[in-house]
Amino acid sequence: MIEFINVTKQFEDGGNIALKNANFKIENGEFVFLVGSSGAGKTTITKLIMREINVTEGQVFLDGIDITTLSQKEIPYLRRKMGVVFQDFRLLEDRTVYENVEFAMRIVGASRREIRKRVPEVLNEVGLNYKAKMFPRQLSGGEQQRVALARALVNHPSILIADEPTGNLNPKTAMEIMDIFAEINRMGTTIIMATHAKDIVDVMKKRVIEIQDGNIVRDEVGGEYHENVEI
Amino acid sequence: MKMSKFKYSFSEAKKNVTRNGLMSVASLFTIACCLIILGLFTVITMNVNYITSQIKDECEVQLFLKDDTSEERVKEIGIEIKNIENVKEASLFTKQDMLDYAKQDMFQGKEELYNGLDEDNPFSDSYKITLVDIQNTADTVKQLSEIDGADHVVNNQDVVNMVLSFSSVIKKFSIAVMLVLLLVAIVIISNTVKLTVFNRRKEINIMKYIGATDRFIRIPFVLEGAIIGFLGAVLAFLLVFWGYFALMKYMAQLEITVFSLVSTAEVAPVIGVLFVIFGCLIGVSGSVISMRKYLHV
Repeated sequence: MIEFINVTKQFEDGGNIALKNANFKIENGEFVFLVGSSGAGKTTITKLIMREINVTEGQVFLDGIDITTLSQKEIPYLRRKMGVVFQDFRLLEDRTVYENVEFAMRIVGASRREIRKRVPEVLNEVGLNYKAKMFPRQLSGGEQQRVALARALVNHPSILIADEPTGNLNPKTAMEIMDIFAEINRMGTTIIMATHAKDIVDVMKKRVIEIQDGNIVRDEVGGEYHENVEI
Repeated sequence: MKMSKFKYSFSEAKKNVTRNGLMSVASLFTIACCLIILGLFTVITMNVNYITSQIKDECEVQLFLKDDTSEERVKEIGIEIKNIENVKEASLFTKQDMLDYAKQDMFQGKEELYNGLDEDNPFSDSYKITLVDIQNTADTVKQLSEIDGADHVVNNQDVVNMVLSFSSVIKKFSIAVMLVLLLVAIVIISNTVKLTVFNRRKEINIMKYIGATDRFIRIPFVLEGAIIGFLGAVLAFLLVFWGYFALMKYMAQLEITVFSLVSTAEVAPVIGVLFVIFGCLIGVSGSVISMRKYLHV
């Protein structure tokens, strides 16, 4: 479970307040959309969960632990509980699909046997087993995002954080990717997705947290993309 | 660290070296050049020390006696000399010994030069004296001069002093040059690794998001620096060893007997160990310096 208690984030002294007194809880296995205009504070929330940045005030709990108090050395272990997917895929261009996914397992010290077993398994889950030896440049945008998803999932994270994962994809491919997210969520993984994609949010009918100017203005289960949100 | 992680780090380090081939080669040659200069100064220092010790070992003074000294007094003087604290050995060279030596070594083939010298020997009796401690030569010479029957004392203190002061200057100069070169080499290798780190900033960024520890991210870069440093050390060692070997061969041809140089067998391990330690140290320091910037995600 993730819980934000009175969280405020202000960048630099006296600078822009990205998040103001935010309070919300995300239960294990939930699927949550973070919506709002650019600069509203969506990415600030995902960054706070990953401890890429820390709060100015307040507390963020993950499975009962206040992650705002973690030391720099403890942060890598926090991140191993999460998978992360970006709009720009962030794949390593000089490595094959297999190597990109394997890379994530190497980092956490998995054995060769575990890697040989798990990588094909996860590539199969995202439907890319047959392209394991290809390089990212040989793949379409949708396929590259699937590789990024496989990399995020390979270490069995309990939380999957996605920042505009369909932003660079056409509507059809975007829906295919969302089907994979939905499947991952059905298996029990918590998904937190920052997005501008109205169609997707409306179709998925999941919990929607809407942020405007750093304030949480709506938290609605089974919600839709708010019509008043500027894109 | 798990073996699998170390193997991964090492293979990544090897890839980094080849990925930035040109920069790696440039760094390798720079380190090699620095180490060669370091090696030259080390070899010079070793040899100056060695030659100084040879001169110290052969530190002799010669006490010449007055012409009218009786044979009995000459023997007594021998005992008096041996009683002086700083005297290790004293051996008598009579005027006849000196003449025989001159005939054999100095006037060989020029018999006309020593015709009549047997009847009127111009040399004096003398004692060749080996000292215990070269530093006390002046005192000992003074004591010898005060012996009844002593005419004058000849010593090589000036030569020894010159070699000792030269050795001291060489040592200080070597240390200064080594320090400067060390800094230059560290800056160069740190720039090479910085380039690698910059090229791989995306990868480092992803690694951080996935949960890689700082140590796990650093190790391949540190190993990259160590590999370049080690290869530079091997290259420098081969060149310095080859150069010294050629010098020894040349010296052997010159048949110099006054002093000898430190053998290649003694130079090789010192240079080898020094180069590997310094090479790796330069490489690792350079890497560590350039790693800081991209670790904050």
